[in-house]
Amino acid sequence: MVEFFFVELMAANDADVVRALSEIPSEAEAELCRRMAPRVRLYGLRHLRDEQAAADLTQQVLIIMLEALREGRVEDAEKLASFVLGTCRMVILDMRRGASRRAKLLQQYAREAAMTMPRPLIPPDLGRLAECLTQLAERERSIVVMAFYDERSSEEVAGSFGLSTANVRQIRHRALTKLRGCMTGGRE
Amino acid sequence: MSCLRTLNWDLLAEYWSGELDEHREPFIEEHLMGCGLCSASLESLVETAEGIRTLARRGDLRVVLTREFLARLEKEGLSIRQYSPKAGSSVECTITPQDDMLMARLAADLSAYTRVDTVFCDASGVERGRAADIPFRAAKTEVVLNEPASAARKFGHDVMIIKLVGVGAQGEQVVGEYRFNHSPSPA
Repeated sequence: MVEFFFVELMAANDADVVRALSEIPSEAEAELCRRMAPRVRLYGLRHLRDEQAAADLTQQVLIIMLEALREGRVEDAEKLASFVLGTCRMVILDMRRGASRRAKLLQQYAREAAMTMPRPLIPPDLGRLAECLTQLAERERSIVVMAFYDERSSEEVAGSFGLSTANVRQIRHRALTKLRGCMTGGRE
Repeated sequence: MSCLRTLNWDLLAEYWSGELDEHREPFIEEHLMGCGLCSASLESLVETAEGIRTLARRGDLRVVLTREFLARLEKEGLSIRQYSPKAGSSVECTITPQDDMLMARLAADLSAYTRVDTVFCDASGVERGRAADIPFRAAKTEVVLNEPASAARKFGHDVMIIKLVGVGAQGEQVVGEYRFNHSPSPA
């Protein structure tokens, strides 16, 4: 069996970290929480469109994940992502039903889950972003601003300017490629 | 799940705005949940979107918007100073510290054109800048142009002429000319 040390965990894939639970449980649990927390939070933001609700989801999902791992219910280490995704869906359904049946678990695992809340989203350098937006073509800038201001779909943006959805997607594709290149200074 | 093929921003934007169909979305979500690299890329896209929202709310972008979008900004409580001169006329304008955004609403019949440029001229009519191929809806009779508020606050007494220029088979044609006589805010 491979022996894991804390520094090696950082470089290991998710499944290897799950396998490391039997040897260094607290370090492996902390590493799994550190990795999964931002992913769960993004899932929450995408489906709930609310930062506080996404934070609540993250905490609940991490608690359920830790409980399942400790009880050996995640049998296949390679399937952790599927397990977490399924849990996200279930918890959101619960949240929408207004259920709060996690008080006991929260008491037991809250410390671990709370300690690994992902860092807050950090907007990029606004000066640089404004500069990059200025470099876009007029249509690209309008479409990117309107699409991202309140997460409007291509179809909605297309309707506003009398363009086809396919055309808006094409323009957005060009704009995002340029924007990403400009923001990263061509490093990616 | 390993990341043999990283998801690009375009696909991530489709996911984020709920445009993926019911077969693709679960696949993408499963990948994101198992891939730190792609979820970090989505995080960066979401942060950029937040940055765009911040810049738009500050009115710091020169960008063509729509009447409906403008209405939504107003509904959010933003203070928007708007000027709607008729084509061929001039308007006295300013921006105060209380204004969040500055908009020029340029009325014109653009139905005969497939391409429209916005041309920015000084008081003597000399072209100082051009926004080529702006988005517009031919059926609507107005171009809503957001002018950068922070730059406008620094202007003294100044004149800016904005022209809407239609580009068609016969070449360029000025569809509308609007003169903005700017004075600094007295405050």
